[in-house]
Amino acid sequence: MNAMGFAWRSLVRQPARASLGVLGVAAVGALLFDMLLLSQGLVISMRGLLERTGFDVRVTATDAMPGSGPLIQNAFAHSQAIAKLPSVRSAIALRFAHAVVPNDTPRGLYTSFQGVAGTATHPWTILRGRDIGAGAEIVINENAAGQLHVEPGARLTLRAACADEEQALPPVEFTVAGIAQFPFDTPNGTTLATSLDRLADACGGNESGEADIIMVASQETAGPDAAVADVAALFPDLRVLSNAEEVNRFERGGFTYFRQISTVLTTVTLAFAVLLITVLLTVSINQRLGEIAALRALGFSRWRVVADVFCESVLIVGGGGLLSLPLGGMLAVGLDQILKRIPGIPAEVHFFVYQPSALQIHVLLLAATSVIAALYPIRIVASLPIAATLRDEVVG
Amino acid sequence: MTRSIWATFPFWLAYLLPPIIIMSVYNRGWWAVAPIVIIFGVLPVLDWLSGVAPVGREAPDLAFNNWFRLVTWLWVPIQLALITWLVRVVPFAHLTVPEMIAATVSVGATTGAIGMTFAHELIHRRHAYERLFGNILLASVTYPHFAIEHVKGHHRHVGTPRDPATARLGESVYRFLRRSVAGGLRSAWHIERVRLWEREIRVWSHHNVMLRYAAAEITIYAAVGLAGGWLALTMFAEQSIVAIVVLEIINYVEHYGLVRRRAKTSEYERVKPDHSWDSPNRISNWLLINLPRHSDHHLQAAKRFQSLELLPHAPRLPGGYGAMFWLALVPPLWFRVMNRRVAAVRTGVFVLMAAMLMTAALGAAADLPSVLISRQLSENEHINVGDVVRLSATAEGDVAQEFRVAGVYEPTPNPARLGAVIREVQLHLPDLLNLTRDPGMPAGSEYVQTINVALVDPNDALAFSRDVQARMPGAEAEPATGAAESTGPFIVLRRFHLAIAIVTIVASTVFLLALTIMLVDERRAAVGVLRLIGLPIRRILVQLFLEGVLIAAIGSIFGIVLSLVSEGLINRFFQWRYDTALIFVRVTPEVAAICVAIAVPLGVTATVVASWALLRRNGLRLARR
Repeated sequence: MNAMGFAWRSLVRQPARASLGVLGVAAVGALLFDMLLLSQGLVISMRGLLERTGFDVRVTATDAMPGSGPLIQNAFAHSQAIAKLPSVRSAIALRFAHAVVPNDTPRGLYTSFQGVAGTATHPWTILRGRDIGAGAEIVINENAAGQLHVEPGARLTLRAACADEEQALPPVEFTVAGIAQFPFDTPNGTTLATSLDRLADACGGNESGEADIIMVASQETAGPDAAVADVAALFPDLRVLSNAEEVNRFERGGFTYFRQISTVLTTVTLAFAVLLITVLLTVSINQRLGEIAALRALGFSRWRVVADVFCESVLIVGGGGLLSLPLGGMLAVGLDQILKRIPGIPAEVHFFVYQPSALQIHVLLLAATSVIAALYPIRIVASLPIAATLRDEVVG
Repeated sequence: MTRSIWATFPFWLAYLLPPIIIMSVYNRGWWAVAPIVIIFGVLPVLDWLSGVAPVGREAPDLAFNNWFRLVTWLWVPIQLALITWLVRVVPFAHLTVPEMIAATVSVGATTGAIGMTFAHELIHRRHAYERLFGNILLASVTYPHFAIEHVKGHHRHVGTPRDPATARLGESVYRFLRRSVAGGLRSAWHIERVRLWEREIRVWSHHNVMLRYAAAEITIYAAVGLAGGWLALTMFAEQSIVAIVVLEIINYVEHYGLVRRRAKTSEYERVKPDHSWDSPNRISNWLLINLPRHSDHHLQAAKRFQSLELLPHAPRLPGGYGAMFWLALVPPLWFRVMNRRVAAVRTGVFVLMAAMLMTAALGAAADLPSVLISRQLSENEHINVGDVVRLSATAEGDVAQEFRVAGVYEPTPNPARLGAVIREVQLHLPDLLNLTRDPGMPAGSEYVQTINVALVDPNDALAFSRDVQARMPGAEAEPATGAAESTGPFIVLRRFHLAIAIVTIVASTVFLLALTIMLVDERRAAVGVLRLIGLPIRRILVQLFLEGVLIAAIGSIFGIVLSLVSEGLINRFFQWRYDTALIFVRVTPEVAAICVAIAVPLGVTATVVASWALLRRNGLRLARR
């Protein structure tokens, strides 16, 4: 019988403890797997979301997040100038405001309100109806449509709430052109969008042509880096970032918390797994010292009994590791749902994202765990004095 | 939590020492020195690892939480019981001489470090019964006059040559011990003599408290001698000597080299934060009930220990009291580490004064308004105190105004701005309004976003906010406490951490069950024999149950210590990583209590379940017959 078969026999002889060992490793492994998914999940998810918008360069007035910093002056003219650059395919200017739409409640529905202008298609996907045209038209997301009970063709009156505007603005009437999906919508968020000029009108008409951000799509032949360089050269006072740079900025900022916590928890879970398996194997070995000494006396080599112990460790970790994958997957879904309730997190962003490298690292870490955890029990077995152990066993 | 007993949780740490001492002595051999190793070795290391507390008040004001009194009161019977055990039981326990010495030193170190500290807290109290408790503790270590000298002598003369308990610059701890012990006794006698003289009472009368103390000590020694003989008497005296030495070394550390300057020819300046050394290390503070927050204690001696704070301008010791204790015992090393710091504190005082004078002069000359800048802004832009900066409310820099930088501050940690380099300037509100006012707007039409209100009693916050809302319709008023906790992201993160904690508990439970099954199984033969010789199942089960309780309790304590260590390491790492003073991990008494409440029943249940599975079997089968 080879070492693996022997180890299997040893484990099934004590099914309760072997099962508990495997279950313990499965629980710890699930957590480890989730932490590996979390370490890069948010960054990968955000990168994917930014790429799905169809724009790969972002231009803002300052380092502040769009909507919270100063507006870009003459943004519409700037976006047209940018769109003419050889490395740029298209550019749009976006402005973010808020609006209150009367509904059944006394306060009305408080919504995000976007205005867009430029040469490209708009950064939303039309689900029903059509996109905005030249008139006083608006597109709204599903949440807004549901809460306001409107469909394409309906009339909508809203009162804009724009930055720096201390006075109540007059109500403005729009026609709902279509129902759209916005990439950065939060799960319960309500969003309306119209043209930049219409939004400026709704905001009192004092800031016509201003925007929070200019989104740029680079030419496939040139790439985002060339577009960034060209735009930065054209408007040196503006902040120009590619999607990759933007993601890096997120990674260095708020996102880093999740990577750090995943590192800490990965370390803790690995230490816990090593401890668990070492204790299980050590106690198990200590109970079988007489048996191991007898095997050595029968002619089993030192390497052979060491291999038996190592294989036991591999079987426990391997079994637990296999179980940990579905467990970890289910746990990741639950944890993702918890974390996605953080206010302001877009519905399409996920904290736990599967990638093959996470699985590879998971397997590598568990393999290392099985080796490290087996070291101490192996030392006991390797240095076991055969005669003395057998004598103790007989006398005992 | 402010009035809950759980808030006192960390300060019960000292109560672990007496059972450790007793168990160690009975284990004999090298175990007998385990308490000494723990007190002088393990605790200083844990102190270093456990990290430091933030400046200012850590928790809502705990002054009204009466449970904290219990922490100090209960120590009185514990210490008396421990000393009684030392003099009445240990001499007759057939121990070797080194074991008896180890027991005496362990008790002395405990009565010195813990007993003296608790006594110190009690003798400062207003109630006579609390002062009596303090006097009892001091009498039990033959140092009762400390109550007089410390309160009426040391607190009045600290930092001056008249105070025997203030260590001088360049004075070794050994020289200080001689001066402080003898000087303290002399000072106490002098203070008592003056008190009697002022009341026109004869010194040699029963009104003399020092004579009463002496009578009490003679009685105690006689009682100890009668109860345990010469050996007990020697051990009692030895533990007192150890206690006194420990106390005086702590005294040495607390004020080394710090002096009060003479304000006039005969008067010293009033006591200030920079006349005592503070230590923010957590274990030191828990074990010594915040004694290391010594500056605040000297500023407000009546403050109960739970309300003491780390003052921002107080000088800091480079380590906890445990580490400083060892450092003090090696004078060359002590001088090397501390003399520089003393010089820095002394120079700092003069530099600050010079800077204040210079600022006043410059301010008078230039008449510039002052601003504070954040540390990050100062470091990134190389702006220093005294520099003149131009500030404008617009990106174009128009309508700029000049300000003089009066200071650099550490921004209040804000989790929402984690990772951001905080470039901030703090202006006086009128200056800010002047800077941002639209020239077309009439004066007086400015507005502010927030008004922060500090209440006399923070517990009134909710009622106050309701009152404001009723009186000022349209204004939003809400208590600051709990505002951060009720914010969305924090609730979500709390749930996330809770979910991870649940997974960890599940894994731990499996681990625990596997372990207990194996441990119980290992004793199958022994249990079988016990059954065969007639021990009932219930009796064996009780024994295993008690073992489970003990293991779970020790495991819980170890777990809490481990979490405290990792708390310090994690906080230090993340604070370094994000350049922030934010606390990332905090093991609160509530969290520790929850962990114990989960771990102990879990451990006990696992033991009982595993044991019951074994005990159900036939005794002969268990004994393999």
